[in-house]
Amino acid sequence: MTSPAHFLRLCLRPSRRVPNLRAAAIQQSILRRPLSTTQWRSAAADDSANKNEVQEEIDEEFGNPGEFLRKFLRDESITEEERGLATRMLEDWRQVPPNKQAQFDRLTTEVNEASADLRRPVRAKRNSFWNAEEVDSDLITDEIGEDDFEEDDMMAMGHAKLEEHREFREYARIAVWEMPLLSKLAKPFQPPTQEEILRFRYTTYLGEFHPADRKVVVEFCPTDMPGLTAAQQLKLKKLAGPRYNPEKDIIKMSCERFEHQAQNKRYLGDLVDKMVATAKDPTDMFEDLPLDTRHHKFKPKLKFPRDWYLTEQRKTQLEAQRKQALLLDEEKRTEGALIDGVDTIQQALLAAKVEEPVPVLRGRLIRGRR
Amino acid sequence: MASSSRQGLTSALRGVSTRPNGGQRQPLEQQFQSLQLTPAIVHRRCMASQYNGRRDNRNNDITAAPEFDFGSFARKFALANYARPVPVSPSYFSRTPSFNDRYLTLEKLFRAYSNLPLIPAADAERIAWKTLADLRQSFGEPVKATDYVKCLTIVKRLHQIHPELKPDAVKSALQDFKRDVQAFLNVTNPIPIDKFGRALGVGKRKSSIARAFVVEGDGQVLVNGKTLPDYFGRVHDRESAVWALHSTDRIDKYNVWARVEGGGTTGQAEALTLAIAKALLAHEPALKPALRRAGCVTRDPRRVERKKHGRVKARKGFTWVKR
Amino acid sequence: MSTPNCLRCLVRPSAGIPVSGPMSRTATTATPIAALPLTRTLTAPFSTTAASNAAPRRAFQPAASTKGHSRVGKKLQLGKFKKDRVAERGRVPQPGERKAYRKRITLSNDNAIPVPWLTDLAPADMTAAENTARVLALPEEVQDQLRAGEAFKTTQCWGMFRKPAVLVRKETVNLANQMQESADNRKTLRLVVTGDKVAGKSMMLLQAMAHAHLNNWIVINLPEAHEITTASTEYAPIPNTDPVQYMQPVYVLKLIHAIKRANEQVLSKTYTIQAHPELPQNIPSNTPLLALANVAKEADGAWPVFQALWNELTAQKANRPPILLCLDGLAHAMKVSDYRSPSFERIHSHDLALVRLFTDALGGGVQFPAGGAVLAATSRNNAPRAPSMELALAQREAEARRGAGAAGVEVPQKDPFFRGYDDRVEAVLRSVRVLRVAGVDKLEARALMEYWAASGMLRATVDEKTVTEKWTLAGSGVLGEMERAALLTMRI
Repeated sequence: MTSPAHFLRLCLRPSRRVPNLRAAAIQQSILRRPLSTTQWRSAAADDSANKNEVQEEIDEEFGNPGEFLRKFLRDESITEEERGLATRMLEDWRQVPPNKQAQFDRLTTEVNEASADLRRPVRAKRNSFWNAEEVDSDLITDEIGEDDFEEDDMMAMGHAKLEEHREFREYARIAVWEMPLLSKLAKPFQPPTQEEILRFRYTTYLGEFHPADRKVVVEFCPTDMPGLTAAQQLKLKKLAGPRYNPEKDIIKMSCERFEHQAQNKRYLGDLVDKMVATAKDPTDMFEDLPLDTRHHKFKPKLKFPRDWYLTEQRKTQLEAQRKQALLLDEEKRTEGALIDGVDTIQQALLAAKVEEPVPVLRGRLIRGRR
Repeated sequence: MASSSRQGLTSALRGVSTRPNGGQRQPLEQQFQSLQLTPAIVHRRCMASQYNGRRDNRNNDITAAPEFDFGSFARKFALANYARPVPVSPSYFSRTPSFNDRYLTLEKLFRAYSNLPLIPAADAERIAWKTLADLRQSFGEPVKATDYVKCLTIVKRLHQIHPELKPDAVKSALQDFKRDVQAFLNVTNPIPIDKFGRALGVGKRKSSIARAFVVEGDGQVLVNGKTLPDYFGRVHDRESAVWALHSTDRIDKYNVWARVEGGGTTGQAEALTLAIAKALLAHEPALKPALRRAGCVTRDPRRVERKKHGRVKARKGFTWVKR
Repeated sequence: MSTPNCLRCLVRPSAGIPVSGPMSRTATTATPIAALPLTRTLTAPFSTTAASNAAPRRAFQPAASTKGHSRVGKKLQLGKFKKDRVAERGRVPQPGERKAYRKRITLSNDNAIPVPWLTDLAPADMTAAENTARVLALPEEVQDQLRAGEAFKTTQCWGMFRKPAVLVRKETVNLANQMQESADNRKTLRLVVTGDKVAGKSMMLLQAMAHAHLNNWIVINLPEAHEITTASTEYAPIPNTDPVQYMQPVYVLKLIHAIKRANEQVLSKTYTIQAHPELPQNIPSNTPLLALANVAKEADGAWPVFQALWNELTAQKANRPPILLCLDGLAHAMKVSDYRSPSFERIHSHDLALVRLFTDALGGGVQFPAGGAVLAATSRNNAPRAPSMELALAQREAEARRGAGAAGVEVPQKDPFFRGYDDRVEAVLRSVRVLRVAGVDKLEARALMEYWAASGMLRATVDEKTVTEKWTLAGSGVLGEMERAALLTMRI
């Protein structure tokens, strides 16, 4: 009897040529490292040649190992060692009793038929209500046969719960034991030197794919650029257009045109070089154009008035003002010239009571109209 | 669900972590402690039993109780005469044993020290006593409201005993009824006056925040860089902005430079009132009663009431429709 | 809670309002003017009582067509079907009555207490620095002249006091001195008064006019520039002009009448130096200018008359009094007007002959024979954006400050990327002086408040505390805001 593990290993090694296995493997969930640094790419991005190859190999169907081994031996490109191994295995297969061989064939077809549904690609239903029938990836079980209890084990939910618990523990272990080790990698902050003028900003989504993670932003101050005269600096600002912030005196540019971060960064670096070269070019210094700052709204900075600071001088000034006001008040009070509105009204009312109210036409008439 | 299992996990981890990595593990320890039974509770649980053996290892490990060694027991202690353990407290079988114990203690103290001289309640140190909910929480017993009220009357009466004559027993008995956080001990930081003679006061109202620098001057006011009529269209708002100065007759003595943000005009004006009042108090603390009478000291805590479901606005109901 | 309206203004002078008995009785006794039958015959266009004169007053009588009792206000509708009911309304105001009521200018208040120490303005009072921070009354002659020239505005609080009085402030003295100086040197002062909202810009013009009237100048006042440029009066192209200019006959007729009434005395003593045969009525030389102005009887011939008058006034080497030309709301005169040319393009304000006449004078194109002043005031609440004007004024102000020796003053420059500048406006404002009117100081505020209190309009003791309070609430003494804070709140 041949060892099945040995046989399986041999079958799996040229895995491209085992379309059945491959087709089944597509359905498996793809295991990913929890903190991968490289981004995951789907198979959809493969080139068309690879697709054709898969397509043509799917045509070949192998019912049992014998057929596969015969096909394998017919191939010219295999090594002697493989040939010897395959020949021995083919001998072994021939020694298997025919009823067992037939049983194997039957098993293969059964498995193929049974797993046909699973291998069918899943398409999102177009007219479903908010993808109601979609598989919920947040659930901890796949909900298939979840409620079947066969009295020999925990139920699926229990297993899932345990699995979840293991996962938490794994992260907790990482947090407690491995994360502190990262402090060894910490580097002290080094302020940028005179030569490091450009400040780049990158974005990472910690290994996840994101359309914005390729974006690179560069900032620099035109006055920091070595070897530029004042006129050239002004030209550089004019070249930058709305990317120039006149309040901070900084040019800020970004690029997400290319697929990779490095490409974008390269582009920005080249662009800055080009801008500086153009700024140095004396043929047209844009002297007829004023610096355009319409894109920037200057925010007025409100400051406490300097005149209000309580200095000695201010103190004496206030003192004098108050004294003057007090004196004025006091003077008026002693003279009786301090006017009280209520008092005035009272007196006027008293005086009015004496008079007889006579209706009189008030106001003057315009001359010549009488 | 995930968080609870994570907490369980961390507590499980605690037992494992023996590596010298204390700084990282500190939060885990704390979390664990929060889950742990407090010694007080543990103590209460075993209060009733006669076993008063090794209760010294009070540090955080919970270990299984050691086996009873009756031989050594017999040698060490005179074993009880009772056939079974007897509760230490007579109120053990009541609904609220520890509260009843305290209550009885207080009554006893009250009877014992009722002749000691009292000071007026206003002069006694202000203490935040536990509320009924706090008391239930801390004792873990369903204390009745009427009992609570009776108890607190005694507590307050005992608290009025002249502090120099107050016995230690009373002090310790009252300790259980004090709230953990004593708000009356909080002292507000005094507002400093900087080298330019300014005091910065902060006031809030509705959703406005105002910061006012008050400096000695001749009555000029600038709000966000504008004069009062430029900033506040309504005369009423202008008046309420400088109300603190107006009500204390200080309007010609100070200049105000303020930043206001958030909210509407009324809120901003009234936030300014509070801000200016606080800064003014830094200059002249004696004005506090006058300002309080003018209503400039207290922060108005009212905010927009939230909208409720089932209602059109905060309280307005939907119109009734027949069908 | 103060009422938003002045309670005094709520008494509508329409006669037939169905009001309850006691109310009407008190109303008749409280208004002595209405009680006299004499008013019926008088129709003074500028009277304070124009509205009550518009309709002859009848005694109160219950409406003849009363079908039983009728309630005023909302009624509960109990029945399913609405009955056709004739709504009970009072007398509908006559055409123009509402506007007359809105525009009426009240210059006196009989209930106000007369201020004993109030003296009338003398011709030299405004130029004297010692009169700063004093309130002085306008003499009755000048009141009439200013009223005729429409110098008073409805927004100003004249109607609260016994007689119109003005506060002489530092800016007033400054302006009056500048005017006097230019008149003495036979030069023309060209000046724009600008400042914050309700700071007293129009009042400054009024004071300048009062000063001019007191000193026997000829005053021509264009009270509101928006009346000229917002396409609210008739206009017609002036023949034989290139580029085409437009006259506004109706407005000009009104203006001639105003000039005539305001300057009656001076015009009757000033004589023409040339004959004007082209006018509807032949005017030989050596005729009083008043007679020339009287020629304008209809809108049709108004523009030539005005032009003749203007030519006479500005004729060199003639014996003429100094001239004051005023305009309020300058921004409206410094934009493209709302009038359309025959090709339906918008006419620039400076192509309107009247505005051009003013802007020429403001720009320095006209020399007055005996000197004088051209004053303009900006407005803050009825002002379209005029970027060129704002920039030019800011520039002139900065230049003046720099000329006075202030360090670190930067003259604002044009925004090179802004398109809305107007070259004609810039040319006009290239050499004007700018007078900025800001808040008054406490001394002036005190003088004013003493006047208010003495008139019984301010119920407080006028001391340092009260003055500073109102001064602060008014944002460092902006006069209009002081009025709002102290006078118009109706707190009793």
